[in-house]
Amino acid sequence: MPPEHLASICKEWRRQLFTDREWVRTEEKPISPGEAGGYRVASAEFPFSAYLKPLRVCELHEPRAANEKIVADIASDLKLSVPPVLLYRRQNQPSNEEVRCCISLVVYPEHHEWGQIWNLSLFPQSVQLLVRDALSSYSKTFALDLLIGQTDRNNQRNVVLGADAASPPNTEFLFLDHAMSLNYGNRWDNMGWKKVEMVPIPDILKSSLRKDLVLDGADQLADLADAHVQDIVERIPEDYMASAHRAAVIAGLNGRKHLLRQFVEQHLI
Amino acid sequence: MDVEYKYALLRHRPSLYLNETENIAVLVEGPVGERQVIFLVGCTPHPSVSVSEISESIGRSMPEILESLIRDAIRSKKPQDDVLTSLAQSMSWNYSVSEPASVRDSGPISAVAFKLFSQYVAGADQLVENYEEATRRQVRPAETKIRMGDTFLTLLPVPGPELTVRSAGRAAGASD
Repeated sequence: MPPEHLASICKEWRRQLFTDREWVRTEEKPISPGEAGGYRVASAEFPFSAYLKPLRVCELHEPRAANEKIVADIASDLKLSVPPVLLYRRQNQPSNEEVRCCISLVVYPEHHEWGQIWNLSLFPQSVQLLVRDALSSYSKTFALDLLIGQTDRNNQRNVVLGADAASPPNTEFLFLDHAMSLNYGNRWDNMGWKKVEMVPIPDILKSSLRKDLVLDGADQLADLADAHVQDIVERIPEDYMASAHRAAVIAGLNGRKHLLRQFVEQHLI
Repeated sequence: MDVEYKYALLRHRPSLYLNETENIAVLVEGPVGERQVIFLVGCTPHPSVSVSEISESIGRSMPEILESLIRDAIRSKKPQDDVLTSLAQSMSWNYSVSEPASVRDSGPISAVAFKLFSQYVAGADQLVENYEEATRRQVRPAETKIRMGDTFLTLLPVPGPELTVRSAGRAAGASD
């Protein structure tokens, strides 16, 4: 759940498709330039920053920004731990960089890559307890990862621990990087969506997952109406995600949501 | 004869909503004899605004966290990348590593690291003196981890043919 003071902004970002603000880069160094890349941005008179991505030009079968928006919208509807996302069509970008981007809201003043806390024994008992308690409540978000076919959570960077010193209870893990999920690379074509696979996750999350909560998450995803999923996907513009690709995403999400419970029953202890 | 070293700065930004940034460590990659090593000199952050308990804990554990991240960078880096470039990609938020830069110097890697530490990290000179005093009194074996006062020293070989991690810096609250 986002901090209370951000609730209305998160709701607004869920409702909107594109940002109506102009965003400017705030740091010289691009983040993950070896992958799709991105950087932090700010907008005049908007008190929070955001993360813009991707920088690298995407092929049509690699709709990174659209994937981020679709997953964030589903997460928002089920109150799962994914920051809100808006599409952003860049202007005046370097000729070798992507136009069809998105921005992800920086929800907390502190974001710490979870790779920094994997070795919990380094930390005081109070922090260890906080982290373990927090992690177990992300079991439902793990169900979302299964639905969208997340290929890698065993990565030090794609979950961050958000914290706010001004409001200590506001500490939560935020799941990032959904660009290569869904029908990325057309992998869900020809009924490829039927193949549900275990998401690679680090031991710290594996030992904290609660099967009953993962199952709850799977059931909530299964209860999402087909038409609701269709609305989320169909509003993505054609240049961000072609209609045939959107159709495959809708078929995949609406098909896979009914496979999750059985998969979790069989594969989680 | 001058040797080329690569270096990067570890920075702490207490809030992503503010522009304040503090340099807290220098990482230098370069040769020692036939081997390539990483030498790290750092201190815990002293932000002017309050930070969460998590952030404080990460700051206090930064030598160990960096050691772990460097080892991971060594394992996972792409062949064309150096270790510091790979590390820079794994730390991008409140604690971040700058894009590596190059410097040529005739001194050994430790001297280069301390020189850069003095240049970039506020209040570093006193820490350097503490470190030098500590190392004068110590016979350094092949692998050791010492906390002396608020000075932190790590020297350890990394499994693998070529790389070693060495770090030195201040650990807040550490005691003899």
